[in-house]
Amino acid sequence: MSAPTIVKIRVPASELAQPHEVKSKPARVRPVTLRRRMAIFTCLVAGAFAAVSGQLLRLGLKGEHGPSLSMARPLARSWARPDIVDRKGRLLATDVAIPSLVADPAIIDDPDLVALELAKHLEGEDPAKLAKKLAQKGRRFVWIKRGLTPKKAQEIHDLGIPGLRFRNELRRIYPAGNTASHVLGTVSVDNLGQLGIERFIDDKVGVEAVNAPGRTTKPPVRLSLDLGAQHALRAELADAMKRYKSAAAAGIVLDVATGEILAASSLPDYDPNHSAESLEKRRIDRLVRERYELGSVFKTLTLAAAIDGNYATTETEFDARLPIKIGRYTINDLHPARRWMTARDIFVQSSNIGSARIADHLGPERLRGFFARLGLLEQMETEIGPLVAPDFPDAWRRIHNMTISYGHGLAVAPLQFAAASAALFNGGKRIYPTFLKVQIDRVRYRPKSVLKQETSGVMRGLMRLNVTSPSGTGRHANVPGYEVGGKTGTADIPGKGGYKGNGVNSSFLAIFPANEPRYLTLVTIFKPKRTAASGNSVTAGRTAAPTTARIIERVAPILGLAPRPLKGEM
Amino acid sequence: MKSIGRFLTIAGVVGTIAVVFVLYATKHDTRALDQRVRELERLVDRAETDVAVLRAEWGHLTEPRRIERLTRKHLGLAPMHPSQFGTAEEIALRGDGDLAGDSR
Repeated sequence: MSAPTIVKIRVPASELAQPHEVKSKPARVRPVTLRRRMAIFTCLVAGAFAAVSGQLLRLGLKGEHGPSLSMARPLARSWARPDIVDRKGRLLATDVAIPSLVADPAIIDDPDLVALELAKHLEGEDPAKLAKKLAQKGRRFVWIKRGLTPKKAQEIHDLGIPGLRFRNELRRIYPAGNTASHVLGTVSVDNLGQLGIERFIDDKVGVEAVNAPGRTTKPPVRLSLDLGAQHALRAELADAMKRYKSAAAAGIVLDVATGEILAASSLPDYDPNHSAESLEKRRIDRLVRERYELGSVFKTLTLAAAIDGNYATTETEFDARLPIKIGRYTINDLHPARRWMTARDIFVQSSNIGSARIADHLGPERLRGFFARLGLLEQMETEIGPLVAPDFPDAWRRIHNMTISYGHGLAVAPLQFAAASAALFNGGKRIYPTFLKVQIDRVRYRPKSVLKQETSGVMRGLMRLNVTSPSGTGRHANVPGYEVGGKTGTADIPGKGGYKGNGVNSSFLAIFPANEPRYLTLVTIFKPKRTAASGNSVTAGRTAAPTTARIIERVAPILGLAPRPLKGEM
Repeated sequence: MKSIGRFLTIAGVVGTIAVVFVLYATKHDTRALDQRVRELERLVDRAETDVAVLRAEWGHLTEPRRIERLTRKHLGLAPMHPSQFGTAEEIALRGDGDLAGDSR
């Protein structure tokens, strides 16, 4: 069909519009049909152009929308995570691309020989197992070793074995090692968070799927921890464990106004760079994953409940002449006073009988209600996961009320106790513990008041008195210049058949500076032994209290508190 | 009429050829720029990776446990004791002779 083509070139469309002008040669081309064909053809071409232009225009106007590809999780090779830094910006966790060794078994000629050669360079690898991996002729890809040091990778590269390749993979690095391990948590081989803040990052901050080692664009996650304070706390706890021959110790430093956790350490801990260690039972985070009866530190709460409800003042006297017998229970004191005691003396000399009398005077509902207001009876949440729920009797009968008043019968995670008791010293505001640095909006920040400001003032004074009084149980916690206030708690550990002979957990709750507390510390030494260093005693006053003093002495300057000039005291 | 049509046709052909050349040249340039961008991106990536490694290394080197060990060993230093703090008033002014305050 060459005829219409010729016509198309020679005859402009305008002339075609007048059929009578078209030469009748060649006669077979009928003008009307031709015109119609031309019109249809033109329309089609114009339509196609319009479609293309329209699409171009649309893409142009829509802007930079690259092709989107949704990818299911298992396809991604790794996950890029934001860095974690402490409150002053010091690095706690970061992603680094490191080489992993992979092999293509189809190319490897002699698996046994290659395996032998590789085993020389990879410590702890069994040549027989390697040979088995390398002999899978059907496969084109097997992992040999994930996470090599660059030096090792070079060594193996220099062997020049065909069929071996390196793949750069993201690996989470924790430069500070054990120092903040329980807070940071762990990640899996694929760089997904499993525990602690790492898990929180997966759930709330977000990680990015990457097919090659790349860095995330997300800003670093800033924790409330201060690396220096964290280290000092951990070092002093480790020292205390040695000194008192204890198997475990835990401590926390908390900002009483904001709930920020400046330092939190539970020993033994683990190195997050070798996350398998974290699964060992003895390395559990005792601050949040375990609950304990904390003993006499609870007297602080009991007394605050009585004072806040106007059921007692520090001068109110209670009968502590005789042990209290209820049913088969007897409540007694370590060093019985055998007299009527003021509430102040009950606190400073830590009398169980007196504390039970105060609780009995209050009644179960009021004490329970006070504990509930402080947030001690509900499950508490932090960024590193929910705390273990507190354990207490549902019935909360008279006897429970009396024993709970001095810290037996109610088991709670130490972090929860520390957070709940902060309200006693910060002017009565309930705080929520957090592991993230918070920017407090002074105008809109209105924490809930759970007790009277005056009560808080009285409690501060009692805490300080307990340290300065020559007979106070907390006298070994004094740090010149920092006005430490505190309360001891030596709790018998419950076991089969009662509390006898299972050892004790010694705790010390402290605030500093006591006249206007900025920080609260809670230190627990688990099952200390009688040593010369503790004056052959296991009580909190001789173990946890002096440890707290050492911690405050080191931590306070790091947190920016200068000691009050010491002229008179030196 | 006919000559104008021819002129338009020729102009169209010339114009088309010119546009084709410009397009070709632009595309060529774009490809070169693309390559340059890729190159630079690779360098940036590498630099970022290096920075990440160096930051991690810095973190290791400045780790408090290590610093404490080294300062105790080589400098004979220990954590500050409250008695080691002074106040501005305790500093002797030049020419004053003795210390203004008594800081032991």
